[in-house]
Amino acid sequence: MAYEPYLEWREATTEENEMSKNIWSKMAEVDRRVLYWVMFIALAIPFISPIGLPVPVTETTKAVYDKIDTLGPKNIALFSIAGGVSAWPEIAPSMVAIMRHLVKREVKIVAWGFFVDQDITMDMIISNVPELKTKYKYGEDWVYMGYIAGAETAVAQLASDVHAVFKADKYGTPIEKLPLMQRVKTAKDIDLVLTVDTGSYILYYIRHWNVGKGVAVAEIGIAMQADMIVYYPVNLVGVMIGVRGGAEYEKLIGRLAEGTVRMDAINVSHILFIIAIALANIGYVMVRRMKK
Amino acid sequence: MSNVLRRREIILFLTGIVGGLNLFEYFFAVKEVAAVASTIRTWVVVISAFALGLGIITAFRVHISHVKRRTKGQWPFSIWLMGFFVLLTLIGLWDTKFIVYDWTFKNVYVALSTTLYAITGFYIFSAAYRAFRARNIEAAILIISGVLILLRNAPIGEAIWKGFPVLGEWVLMKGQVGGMRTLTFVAAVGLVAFGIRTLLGMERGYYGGE
Amino acid sequence: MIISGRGFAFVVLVLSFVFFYVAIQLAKKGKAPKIRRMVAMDAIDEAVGRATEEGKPVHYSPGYAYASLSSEQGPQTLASIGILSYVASLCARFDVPIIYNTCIADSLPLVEETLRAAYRNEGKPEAFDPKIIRYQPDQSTYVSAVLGTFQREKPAVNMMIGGLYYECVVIGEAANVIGATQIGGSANTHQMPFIIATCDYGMIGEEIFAGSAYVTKDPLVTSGIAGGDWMKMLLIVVTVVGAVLELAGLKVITQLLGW
Repeated sequence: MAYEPYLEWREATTEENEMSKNIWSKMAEVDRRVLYWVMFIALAIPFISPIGLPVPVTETTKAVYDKIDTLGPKNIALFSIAGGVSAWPEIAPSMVAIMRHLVKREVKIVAWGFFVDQDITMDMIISNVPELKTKYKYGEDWVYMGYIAGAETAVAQLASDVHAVFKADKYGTPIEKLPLMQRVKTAKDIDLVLTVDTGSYILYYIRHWNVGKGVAVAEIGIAMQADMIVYYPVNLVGVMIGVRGGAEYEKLIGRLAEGTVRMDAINVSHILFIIAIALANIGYVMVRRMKK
Repeated sequence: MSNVLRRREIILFLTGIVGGLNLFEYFFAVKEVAAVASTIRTWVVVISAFALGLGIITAFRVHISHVKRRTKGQWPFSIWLMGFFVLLTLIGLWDTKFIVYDWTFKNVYVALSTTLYAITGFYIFSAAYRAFRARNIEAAILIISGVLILLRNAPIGEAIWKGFPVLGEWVLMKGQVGGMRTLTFVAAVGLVAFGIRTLLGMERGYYGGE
Repeated sequence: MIISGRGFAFVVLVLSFVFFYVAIQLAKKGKAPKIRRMVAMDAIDEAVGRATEEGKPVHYSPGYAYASLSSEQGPQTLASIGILSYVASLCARFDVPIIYNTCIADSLPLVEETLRAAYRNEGKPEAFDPKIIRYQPDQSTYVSAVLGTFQREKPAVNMMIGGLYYECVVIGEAANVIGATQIGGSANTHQMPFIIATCDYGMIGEEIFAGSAYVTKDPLVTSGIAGGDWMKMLLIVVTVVGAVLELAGLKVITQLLGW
């Protein structure tokens, strides 16, 4: 498809034509296709030649790690998938790292979700954490209940009565035949909620599970949810934010993986962003001075 | 019959009853009301599922018209979409673990979804380049705060100077909190006011009322 | 009787109804409270005018909003449909085509009825074509459909009002590429920077909820906005007094909030 420039409402003046040949004007109005190519190349380089900068661990991620470290074989954690496959680049490293930690601590796991493509996410987690099949016994140590529609309504209903919402697990096994689910009737039977979130589900769990039933809640979120811990410091155990959260957790559990690999790209993209804004503003300021 | 059901009074009555019931159930612990409200919430889940079918009909209506009119540059893709939809639906109804269905979902849908999400980064880059200019003091403060947060998020910030994460942390945890909390607060109050206007029948635009 | 911890909220709700009643009564007596100008809502007329001059369509989308009316984004979708009613009336009046892209399945009957009513009220029921409503089942498919719409049909105006998520910046930038006038609005605080960066006119916070009442210009309806503002002022007073008392070591307001 042909690219069309901004619409012009009038003919440019001679002065403006002269200005447009100036380097500062060019700097202030770089073609977006150039920007996209620069970003693509800059992001590709770290994957080919990793830089390997250390990743300091933030308090919010450490808090989640410390909480899971207090859990054991008698505790049950809820793994709620409220993010689609499109968000994998940000949340997949965190999901896999958290699951590895839960399995290492032998915590019982109940999983369910609210996105239609969550089965693929669950398959991805199982393929990266094979202990769920080799070490854990399905039905006794972990269960996957499947998809439930209804957003906040469903979360509220699950807090009151899980068995009223789920009649069988993802694979069709009636809930009465799942030994682990005989211990999970309401929110109060869960020791920790881990919600994989790209939007508002963390708020639903805070409202109905934490405030309503007193259950501890932690979030695995995308970068845009970095300030959740600021608004809910009392309600949230901790928050793992984006790729960095995954990289930090991998460092904590001592098993570096995808998250750590992607941090180089994060570093490059952030620096590129800053340079671009700086150049744009320098060009803008110089053009304004020249016009004066 | 459909004209009767479209009457404004029926819509307002239903809205008032369902809204009032859920409000009552939230504030008062009355078992009977809680049971009714819970049932209504279950109906909401069922209606949402049915709405998917309505959505598919809407989509097909558009694409069938493109095929009929042979809309230039569009009609082959409409056939492709509808054909693929029917094929995958039939295979999925038969067996979701069948290799064609499984492979298509994992390698086409996942890949395309992730790509669309990744495009956001490029668009943010060009939007920031175009829009984040220090036109005035407020814009300059916005840009500086944004840069500090970027350097806080990326480990390279700490590698350049140990003060960047500290400043970025301050901006994130303290600097912007007041303003963002205010906006969240007023949005919530506005939402409540909108809800009350809806319950009282003052909001009519959403169902085609005058 | 009242569930523990919700007493204060109930009192605020009752007071809200009182404020609304007072505001309506004032409006009936001809003393309707004055509402400030909402630049973005006023710009809708100008934007549709531009589309009329250029002979290009208006594009309207309510955002992702978790693809459901029953999510917490649902009210934003309803507010968006309320504003759509006004936009559709203008488009029907000036014979400007309107394209509606959405991924919210349960809003489809409301949208269709809203658009049909708008055309009917302008005396052009036969001009309404249900095929202007385009549904895609998922956020990613919705975004790609909108990008394709922009490239093929090149609307003169893009309005994205509702529960916006990452599509805000993608659609906003794509609209900038084709030079469309943009009006954006969302109560989602995380999308505010992108609305400001990409749109010519933006509505943030509660402005989208007030928008559909604002455009009616009906004093009885706009008095509802004033009622909401009085409720806000009450809560601000409670917050300030509570903060001062808390600093002084008096937990009166804190205990009241937990009643």
